[in-house]
Amino acid sequence: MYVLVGIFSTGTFLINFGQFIPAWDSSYYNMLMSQNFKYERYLKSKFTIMTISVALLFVLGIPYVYFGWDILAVHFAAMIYNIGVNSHVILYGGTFNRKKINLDEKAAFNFQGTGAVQWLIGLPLMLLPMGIFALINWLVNFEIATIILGALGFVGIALHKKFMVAITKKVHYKQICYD
Amino acid sequence: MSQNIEIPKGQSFGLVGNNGAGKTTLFNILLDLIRPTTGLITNNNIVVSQSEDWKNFTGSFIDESFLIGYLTAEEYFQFIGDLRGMNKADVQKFLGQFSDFFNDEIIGKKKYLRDLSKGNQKKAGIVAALMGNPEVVILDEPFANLDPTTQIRLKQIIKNLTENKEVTVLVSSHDLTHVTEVCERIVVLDKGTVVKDIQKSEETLKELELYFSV
Repeated sequence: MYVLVGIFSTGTFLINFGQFIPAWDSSYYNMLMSQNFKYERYLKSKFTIMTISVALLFVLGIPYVYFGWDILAVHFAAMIYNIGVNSHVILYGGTFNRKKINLDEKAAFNFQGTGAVQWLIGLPLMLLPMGIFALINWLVNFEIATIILGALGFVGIALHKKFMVAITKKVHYKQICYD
Repeated sequence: MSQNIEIPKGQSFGLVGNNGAGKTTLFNILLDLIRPTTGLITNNNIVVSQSEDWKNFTGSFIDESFLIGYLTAEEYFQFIGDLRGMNKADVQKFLGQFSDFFNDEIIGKKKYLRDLSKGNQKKAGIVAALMGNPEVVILDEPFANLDPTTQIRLKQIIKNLTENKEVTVLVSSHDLTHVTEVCERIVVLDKGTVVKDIQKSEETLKELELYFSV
């Protein structure tokens, strides 16, 4: 359960923001796509925002240490996992979302762009790290499970460039268009 | 049926045709916003669906989806200028040339683009398409929704652009008079096929009117 809280508290913005990429820009998407920058740079900018938010939310969550050092350790591992793995998963998942979002509409009870995909994408984001952590925690111990979670995140960060190229190819091939 | 259109550098190219002829579709394919099932488009020897390198010398305005509604005109021009490698002073200087064209209705009004009238939105979009000295300018129905004075000014702007044969301008329009006035070459489309490809002469307007009359 520590992991769920860790992923959530460091990744709320990531999940909320990320699942609607590129739908946030749907009303002027055509213009962005014909402007003077490459698609990879567009995704990269979104990735940067998400990374900053995750790091910031971790810092804000440091007072959790009151409940024990182990919680802070898990949160740190969850932060690395969010940056390294979840951010890429969500960028990839966002490309399946073809519903428009009109930012000029009111904010309350606004369910624009939500659909089954949004729920499905949440599963690998949260259940996967929980499952991995629970399994290793049960097989070995708590410390190793935390380290493995963080290590997965570092692997994701190390492969960042490759992931971005792959996502760009995939998205650019699929060629999302909002009409 | 295979068809081939080649537009040489510096030409002012006009596209006419009734609704559904494929004018906007052609422009969207040119900008890689729609992928063609067969055939391809090259822009300055770059296949548009394979490389993104055409983006830095192509300026375009198709419809309102090229505007960001929640920005004011200044913010929007600043944003586009930034993408086109212009700094604040460059943007100011650039917009200065268009003060007549804007007719004091766009700059300094503290209005969001979404709150401007259709005509004023179009003016903002056209000027944004010209930012950063593009070599290819694509405008879809630039004359629609504009008042007569602005139409005349726009014609002058397009003529000035193509004067030195450096900039290629592609324009589509339903207004035969405007299109024959600004373009040196006019292509008539019907249901996706080229039915006429004419170099402008004295009789072009009559020829077009004859073609479109029922």
